[in-house]
Amino acid sequence: MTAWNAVAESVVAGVGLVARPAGLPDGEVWFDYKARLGPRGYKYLPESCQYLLAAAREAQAGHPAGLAPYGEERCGVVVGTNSAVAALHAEIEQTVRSEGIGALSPMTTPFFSVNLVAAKLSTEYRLKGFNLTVTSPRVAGVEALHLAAHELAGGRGDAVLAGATEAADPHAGRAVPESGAAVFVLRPAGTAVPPGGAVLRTALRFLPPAALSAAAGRGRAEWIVRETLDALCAERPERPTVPVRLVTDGSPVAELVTAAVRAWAPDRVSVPVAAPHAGALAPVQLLAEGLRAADPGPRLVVTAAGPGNLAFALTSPAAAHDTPQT
Amino acid sequence: MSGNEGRPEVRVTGIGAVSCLGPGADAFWAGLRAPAGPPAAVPGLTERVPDALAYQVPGRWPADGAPGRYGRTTEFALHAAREAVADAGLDADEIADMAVVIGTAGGETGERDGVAPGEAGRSEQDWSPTFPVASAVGGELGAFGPNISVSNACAASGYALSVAMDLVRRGEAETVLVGGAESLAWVPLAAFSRLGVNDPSGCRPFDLGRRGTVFGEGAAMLVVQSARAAAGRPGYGRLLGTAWSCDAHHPTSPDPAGRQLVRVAEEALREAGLGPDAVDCVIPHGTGTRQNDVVEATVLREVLGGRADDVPLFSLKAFLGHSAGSAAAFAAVCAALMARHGELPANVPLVEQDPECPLWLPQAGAVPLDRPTVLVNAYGFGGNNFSMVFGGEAR
Repeated sequence: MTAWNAVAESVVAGVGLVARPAGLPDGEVWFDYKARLGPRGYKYLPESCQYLLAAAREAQAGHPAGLAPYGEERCGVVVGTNSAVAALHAEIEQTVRSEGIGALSPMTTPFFSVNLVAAKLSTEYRLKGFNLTVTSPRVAGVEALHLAAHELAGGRGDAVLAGATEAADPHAGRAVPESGAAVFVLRPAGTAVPPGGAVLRTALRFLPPAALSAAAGRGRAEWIVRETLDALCAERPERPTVPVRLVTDGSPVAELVTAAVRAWAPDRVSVPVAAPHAGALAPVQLLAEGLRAADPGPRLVVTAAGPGNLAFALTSPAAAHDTPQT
Repeated sequence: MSGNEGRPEVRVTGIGAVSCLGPGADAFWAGLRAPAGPPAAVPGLTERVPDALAYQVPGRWPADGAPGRYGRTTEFALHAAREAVADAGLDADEIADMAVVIGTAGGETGERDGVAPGEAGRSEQDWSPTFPVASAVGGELGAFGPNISVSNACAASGYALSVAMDLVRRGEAETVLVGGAESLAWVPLAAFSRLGVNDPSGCRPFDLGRRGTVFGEGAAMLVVQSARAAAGRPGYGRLLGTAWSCDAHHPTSPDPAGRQLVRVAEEALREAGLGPDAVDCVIPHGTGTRQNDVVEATVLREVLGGRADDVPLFSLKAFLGHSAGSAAAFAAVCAALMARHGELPANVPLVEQDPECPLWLPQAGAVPLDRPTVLVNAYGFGGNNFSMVFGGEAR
């Protein structure tokens, strides 16, 4: 049997967030790579890569020597994205049609490969343990946090830069394009939670959309959501009070999950992201914003995507519990 | 015999494939034992990018030619997935519990070819994600287990194999459908041309005259299971060890020092509980790009030590081209079939082997193998490195 109560745990030891300010008019410039990264060496990177580097730099602000003390082969990178290079793809394709391949920039073209965005992060900080890019629709950001936690738990590293980055997808249609990045410094579960840090617990689930048309399938799906929420909050003191934020897309999968979560946590559910987003940044951004709040408390973010992907993430800030020292 | 006793077993009980050699694992194996065909022009693109050739899946996809719900990559993946699930003999409950992990470098990038920004996408929600393959396969099969999409360039399905193995070893899933899928798209082929790494003649790894790689397409899938779930089923072998590393060196070129490539192979062997003496054959990454093949040859000589001249290599991409994110899964399916048939097929004959790649590539005929231990390498842009040790069994 699949272990429906499986949860990954890690410790957040740094948070970086690069987000478009809310309410900014379309077309307004909000990010200056020179100011955030420096004047040289970053001009030809895709926007998603610039955002990621800036968020990673911010996440390591509390680590004066960066991750170097852990050793370069003991540090990894895991990034989730859906649309990091979608705009670059559109530009390359249009250039090939209109001007030919000779007009393609040799500096930018390699980034057609979506994993190069995360790879640049490894190169920037010489992190050689591993570098992983994940891309599940709308949940890839939490997917990255989850797999990073498992790599740490499996002993394959001592520190990981993990998170999400997106740049506006020109094919977003009616969905909301995403721009920005959120990066966490993650350490193995059981290590000390630093000030401003948190225990992070995550879970990934999947609900086949077609199965939800039958009562048996709906029942199984609702049970999976409840089991996962229980497992995520098992033995957590915040279990009875933790507020839940939903990131949904209006799909039948999202409707089922919304109902199941509301039944599990009556009066504690908000839906800050109800319009479909063309990316996987929103849930990680919500987690990062929660940890950067003036008085951070526990926060549970549940993401449900039409193709069937679900992601659950619970942050328990340092002040919310005792943590063993290592 | 592996030395990784104590770790939960991860057994391969089903395989499926769609490639330029045709649909189905049988067609795949038959194609590897026949003369390799040449790559062909890509309609609409080769007129603009003359060296953009590819090893293409024959026929129309979906098979009935009607516009389907899914893109070409997903159609390949679904075909290979259904074959693998049937081959493993999974029942309805096992499929419903199954996890799905699929690696793809480009996903459905090709579905956007010729679609101007602002035009409607395929999905009813009006945004078609570029990487829907794993979700679509899980949805079509009705698999409620974890569903993960990995996109580490040309090593993507290798990373997927690692993730799948970990799911089984952690006890999170008894059965995982794992593999890779890729279809041709304008952007990667044009980009490779701009970077000067397309070979206009064909994919010729380790040949002195090679000029780069040639894209391929298709899907390769495996069903992997815990020992408990696999009990009583005929199997192909076990995933014994996998490892990752990152060069952190250059966007597109491997670190010529090869340190991280050596490390990843040695860590995979260590996880398998084996030393280099146990390796019976190697399916290298071997793309046909000048630097990659030389670096990999140097790495293999270091990893295999004194046995480097005696361990046969099977250069799979000479048959399939470089199928990008699905390449490692094709190598894994190939390893399974080598175990099943007890042989390493003859390699595509080289015109002249590169003296800087002093490895044994048998070309005169098949090499018998008895329950081989196979080392599989897959490397991707960004210095993303993967190695795996597969322990073959008689089926």
